[in-house]
Amino acid sequence: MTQTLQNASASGIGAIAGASLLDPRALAAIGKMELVASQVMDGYVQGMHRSPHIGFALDFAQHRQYVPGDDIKKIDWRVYAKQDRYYIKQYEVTTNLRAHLVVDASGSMAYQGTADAMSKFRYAQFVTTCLTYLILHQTDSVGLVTFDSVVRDFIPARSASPHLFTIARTLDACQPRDESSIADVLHTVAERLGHRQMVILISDLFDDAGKLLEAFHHLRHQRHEVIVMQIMSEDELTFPFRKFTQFENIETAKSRLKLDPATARATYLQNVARHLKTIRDGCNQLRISHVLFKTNETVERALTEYLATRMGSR
Amino acid sequence: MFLMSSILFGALAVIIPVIIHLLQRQKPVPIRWGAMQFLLETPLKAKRRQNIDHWLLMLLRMAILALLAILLARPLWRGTRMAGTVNMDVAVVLDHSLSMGRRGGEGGGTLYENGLDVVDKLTEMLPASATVSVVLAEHTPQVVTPLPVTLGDASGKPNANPEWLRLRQQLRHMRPGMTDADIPAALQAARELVQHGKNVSKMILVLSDEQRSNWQIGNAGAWRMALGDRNETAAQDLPIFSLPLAQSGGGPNIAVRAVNIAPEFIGINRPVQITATLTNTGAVDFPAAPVKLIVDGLEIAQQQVANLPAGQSLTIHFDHFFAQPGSHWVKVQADVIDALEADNSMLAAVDVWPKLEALIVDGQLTPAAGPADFRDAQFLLAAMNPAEVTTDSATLISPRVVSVSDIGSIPLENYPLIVLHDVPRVPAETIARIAAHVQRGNGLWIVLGSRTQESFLKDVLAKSPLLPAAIKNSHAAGPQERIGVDIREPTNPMVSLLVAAERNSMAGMAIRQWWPLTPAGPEMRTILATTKGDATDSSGERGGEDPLVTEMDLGGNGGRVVVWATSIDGRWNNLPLAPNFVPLVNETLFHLAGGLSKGQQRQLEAGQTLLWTGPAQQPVESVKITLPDGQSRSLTAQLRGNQYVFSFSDTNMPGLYELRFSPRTIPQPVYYSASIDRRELDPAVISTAEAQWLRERNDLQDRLTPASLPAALVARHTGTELWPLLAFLVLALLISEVFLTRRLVRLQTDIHPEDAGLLPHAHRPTPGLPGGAR
Repeated sequence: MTQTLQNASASGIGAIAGASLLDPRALAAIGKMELVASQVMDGYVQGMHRSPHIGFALDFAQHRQYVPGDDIKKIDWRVYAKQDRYYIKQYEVTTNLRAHLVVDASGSMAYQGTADAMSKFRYAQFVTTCLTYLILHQTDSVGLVTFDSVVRDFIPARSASPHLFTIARTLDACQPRDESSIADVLHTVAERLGHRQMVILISDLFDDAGKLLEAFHHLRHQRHEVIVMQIMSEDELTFPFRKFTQFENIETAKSRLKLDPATARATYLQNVARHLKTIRDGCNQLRISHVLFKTNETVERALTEYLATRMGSR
Repeated sequence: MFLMSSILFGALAVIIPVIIHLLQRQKPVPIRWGAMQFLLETPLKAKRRQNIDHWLLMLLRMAILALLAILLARPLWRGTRMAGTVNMDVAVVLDHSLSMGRRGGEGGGTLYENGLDVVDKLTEMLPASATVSVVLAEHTPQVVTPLPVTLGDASGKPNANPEWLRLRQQLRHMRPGMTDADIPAALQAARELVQHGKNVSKMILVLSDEQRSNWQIGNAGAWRMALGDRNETAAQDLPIFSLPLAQSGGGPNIAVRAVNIAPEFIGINRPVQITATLTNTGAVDFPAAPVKLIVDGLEIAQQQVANLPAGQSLTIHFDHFFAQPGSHWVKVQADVIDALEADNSMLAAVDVWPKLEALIVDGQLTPAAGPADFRDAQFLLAAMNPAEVTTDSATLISPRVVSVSDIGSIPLENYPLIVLHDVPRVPAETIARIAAHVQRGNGLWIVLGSRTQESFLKDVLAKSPLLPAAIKNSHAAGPQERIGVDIREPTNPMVSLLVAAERNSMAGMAIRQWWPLTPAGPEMRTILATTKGDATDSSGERGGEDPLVTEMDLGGNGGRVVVWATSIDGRWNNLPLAPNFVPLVNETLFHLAGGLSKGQQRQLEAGQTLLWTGPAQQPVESVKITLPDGQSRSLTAQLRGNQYVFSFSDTNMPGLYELRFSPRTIPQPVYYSASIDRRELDPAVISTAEAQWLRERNDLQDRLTPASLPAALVARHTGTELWPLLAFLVLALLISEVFLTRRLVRLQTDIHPEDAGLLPHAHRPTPGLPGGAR
């Protein structure tokens, strides 16, 4: 897959800017899937998404027994005639999805592991493009937010097919740089998006876990469905270094640290594990879907696996 | 101070950890890193601690290597210690020579006992872990302790090791030695012995009377052979101290210095004079002493010697007859209690002959029926056997007369004495045979006379080893000329008896004709000579002053040749008529037979090889030799040529050596006597200059007294070995190193990201993920 992406990127397929991000194999694999929001969203774009507004929509959903407090108008009198019991008839309304892909373009995303084929940001670009294609394919609307310490690009959600190229071009032009301030950006995003949208955060989440969770909470508070796709390099997860190393902060040139990786490894891994656990636990509490992508895994596999899991949980 | 300072170079190994450390501190690999927050979250304290750990580890390793090098170099801590704690290996060379038997030390004991007292004192000063080795200095050093003996017993109580106590007891029961002592050789043995000790400090202590001869003063070769060329370091490592055991006061000491038995040839019932020299080697006069003569263990005679002043000698005589033939021993013993007991008596072994077989080769060519038919030999025969021939008297000489023409068929071996009596001519090969016979220790008497042919004399005899002289034609004295006999060597045994009896014993003897001989060399001694004649001869020279009786030793076995230049039959002189003729002939024969006793010498000097020979016809199965100290050994005799030879060289012990043979048909016992080594009786001790000579050779550190011994021991204390302490320290550091290394390794232990909860379980890490060093 990695090889394919690189080939695609290098060949003439990428005549259109951003075309390299649309790897045919990756997109073909994802195209079979459906991106399904587990949470019912309101909206008016017709899609395959369940609507909470049962009653006046088109598709019958189910019968359920009447409980005091239900609207009497919703009682199915035919069933009452047959069974002498009160049932309420429920309908599903398929709503359209408005998704915003929030991509971290901070310096730390530029890290490319020693054994990786691409940097985290490149990986994020692929993931973003794939998701964009998928969402648009579902005739849902999708938008893009890139950020470092501040929001860099903001493309509002649209459902038109050419929107894919707009997003891809924007992504392609984006280079990771500067320090990240994910939590602050998320607060801003939460405020700007309005209500009940899907926010897919694609980031390495290298920020203070507490602040991040606060930001997630804010998003949830705005009734957004949040999917956190955390992208990390294998190196960052296993810290495999042995030689005496000078770690230079990729985001700020000033910060550097000389140390013996072997001795610092345990502490490092504990720190990472604690960070991840905090985020996972927080996400679980906030009913946020959190998934960790590793850059040494192929994009298609990671995405298909994730989506399959998501379909299964429905 | 370090015992093996060269190992200190090993301390340079301390740079190894530094190098490792520096190699580890190579330029860091730069990595542009995103997840800095997790690294920065590493507690600074822990990082600093790790840094310190690294430095500490390096220092620890350096310290371990340095300490190890120091430990192996065996450092010594020099501190002042009490004598009781001086751990050292002491080798005691205890003089066990004859002179150590001298009394007069403290407490009336012998010097040897005084030496043992010093050993006791020494061991009391040493702690339990010290070792003592003892070598007795004798002619051949006697190692008492095959290995150094630790003084302490199993419980660490000093001077209580049962083995040492037993050895001490054994030394106490030893009698003073009988031989001389070879101090350098004993030192060599002690040096080898003391090296087996486990202590650092070592020393050799020589307890002796410092007798000069035993210390081989001036004999650098002996010292070099024993100890090598010692430099100062060697002397420091293994110093040699001497503690002289001096005689305090010094009482009188009677020494029997020499026992002489005359004559050389002893026949049965012949008078024998035993002469002994007594010397008072002590410092004070000796009042009176009985001196005994003991023959074969029986006291025969006793004489009282009155007042022998210090340093004076006197000679006493005993007369004795040996009634039995065979081997006998004679002992002259001064029955006194004095400083040194060993020299109060002296032994001499003698052989007593039953017969003296003499072969008279007469110049008469005509065969004869019996001895009486040899007319010209009658005087000689009569002189040999003055008593009636028919009676079985005590005559010793048993002559046999043969014609010169028969000599080829006579086995000469049976005759220790051959007389060539006025033979006209003997074949040269026979002369050679006779010469070989003489060289084996037999006697030859050549009598030249009227029948002797000049050509034989000049062409055969003068060219043989028997008569190395220029011989002129026989010289006849003038009718009016009176040529007498001049005694040139009055002490010669052949004539000494005559000279002692009367001053002018040769008066009245007239020599009318003789063969003038001119000895070719000094080995031919003139005993009697003609007096100077009055008249001149035809050549105008005055005759006389020519050798008449000469004597010459031939070969190293006591063979002798006596030549008479004038006849014995009365034709050329009137000797047979002289009253002294019979003793002269007898003494000449006995003197010639003296070589017999020399050939198998029974009186040996200390260390001289004992030699016994026997005829090959009588096979010798074994020889049992009994030594003066009562020990006996069974040895074998070797068959060499036509005789059995038994030799025994370890005769340093003075006294009687007895040989007995198997089978018993061989005449036995045969006695040999070994005298005390003369050097051992020499009281000269090492002078200060001579001690200095030893010091300069580094063969002697110092001379001590019993009082200065403890100080010398303490001074020898070179220090306490520190290696056990260092070993403990190294061990402790090693444990710390291991602990620290484990600690650092534990910090480096791999943690699986999964186990750390880094990866969700749905996302198992892809197999084959790079996890090794980058």
